Amino acid sequence: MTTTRRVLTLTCALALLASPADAAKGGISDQGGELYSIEKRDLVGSHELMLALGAMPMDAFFKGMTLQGSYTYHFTHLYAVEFAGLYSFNFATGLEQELKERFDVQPTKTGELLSIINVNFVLKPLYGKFAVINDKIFTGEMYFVAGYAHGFFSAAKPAGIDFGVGLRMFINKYFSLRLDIRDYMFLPEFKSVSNNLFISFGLGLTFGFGEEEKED
Amino acid sequence: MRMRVLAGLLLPALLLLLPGPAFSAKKKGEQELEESDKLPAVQNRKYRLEHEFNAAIGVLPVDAFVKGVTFSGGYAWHITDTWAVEGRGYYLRNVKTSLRDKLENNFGEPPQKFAEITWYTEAGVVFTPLYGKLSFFNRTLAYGEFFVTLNAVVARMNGGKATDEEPQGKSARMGFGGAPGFGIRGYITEHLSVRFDLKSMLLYSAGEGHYPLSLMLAFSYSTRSDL
Repeated sequence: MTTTRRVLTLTCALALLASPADAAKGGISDQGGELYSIEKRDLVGSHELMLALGAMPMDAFFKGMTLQGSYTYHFTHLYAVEFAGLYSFNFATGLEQELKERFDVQPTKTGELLSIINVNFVLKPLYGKFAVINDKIFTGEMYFVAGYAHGFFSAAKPAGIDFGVGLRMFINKYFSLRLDIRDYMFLPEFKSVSNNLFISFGLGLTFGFGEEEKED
Repeated sequence: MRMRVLAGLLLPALLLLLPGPAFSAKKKGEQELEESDKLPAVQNRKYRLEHEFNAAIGVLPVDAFVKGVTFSGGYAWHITDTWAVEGRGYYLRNVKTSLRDKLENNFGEPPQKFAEITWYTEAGVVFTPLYGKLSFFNRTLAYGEFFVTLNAVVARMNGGKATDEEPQGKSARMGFGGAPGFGIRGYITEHLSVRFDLKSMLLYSAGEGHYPLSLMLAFSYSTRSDL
């Protein structure tokens, strides 16, 4: 009987030990605990090349379809500097011709916008996950840019500033899709401001990934 | 007999010990996840819209002769997380450009020769493919979404190019067309959000095409489908 008691005691002890994890899980759940999921950001790719197609729809006289290229150096996850240039393929709306014929008026002193070069400071405060049609998860970021821009019009080369906002979706470690909305403000004679809204959709290639300790 | 008793008692105890490791060993995929660095976390949306009411201010900045400031109100019914139907009405305050001033004052052009929109309404669908949960400066969480819109537009227009019937310019009339666009929304609280819309309108009215661009910033109050 003594042996039987020992076996019973051992059995009970083993049974109690059998599922400690399950018991603990149930406890947390019952208490209404909260689960935080914290993931590390991917490593910073220092260098980024981007090619984008865009539109400049603001000018009443010319609508531009643009080809843009840029190089961005990412210092950290938060800051970067961008060097960019774009060329605009312009389509006349017919308004300038009409004004010339009917009123002999030359409405723009700067002519049509042909190209722009700019250097921008990039701030990337928002980084996270996007659910695409509630089906797939992509990481992405939202960023803001501001900097100096130089415009090359057919009749002038005014300086100015540009600022805007962008959205990036990472396809994989190297490639990302970008949507940018910017305003190029040129000051042809420091009297009036010429606003040029710019919308572009681009593909970025990132490389030069650093060491893990480089993360923020 | 003693051995049978021992075996009978020990066996259930051993079986109770088995489920943990045996279960995890069953599914190779789960085991891989445990050993992986990344944990896929699937959460419910924090913000779910149902009935959305919003008020907005915006601009129609493209026209060379007139810039429009818009005041609008809208309602959207979010049928699912990704699809919604929306209706919106706009009232415009038009501001003449210096070019139009010059043409009216120096060349005697009548104001009726310049087309402008006085109000318009639109109705259509909103497709929201992206819902984002973002960290702001690695400190706080921000939630937002990206959506595309497609609307039918009815506009009240005034003025326009002179014709044989109307040599002084066109009178008030209706215009019809469409407005594709896209926008982003950021959530402030569970019921309040702010959204930015960009739409490119394609309007046809009395033989003329008009292509205004609309930029709009709206503040929304929404009921929620999950509360």
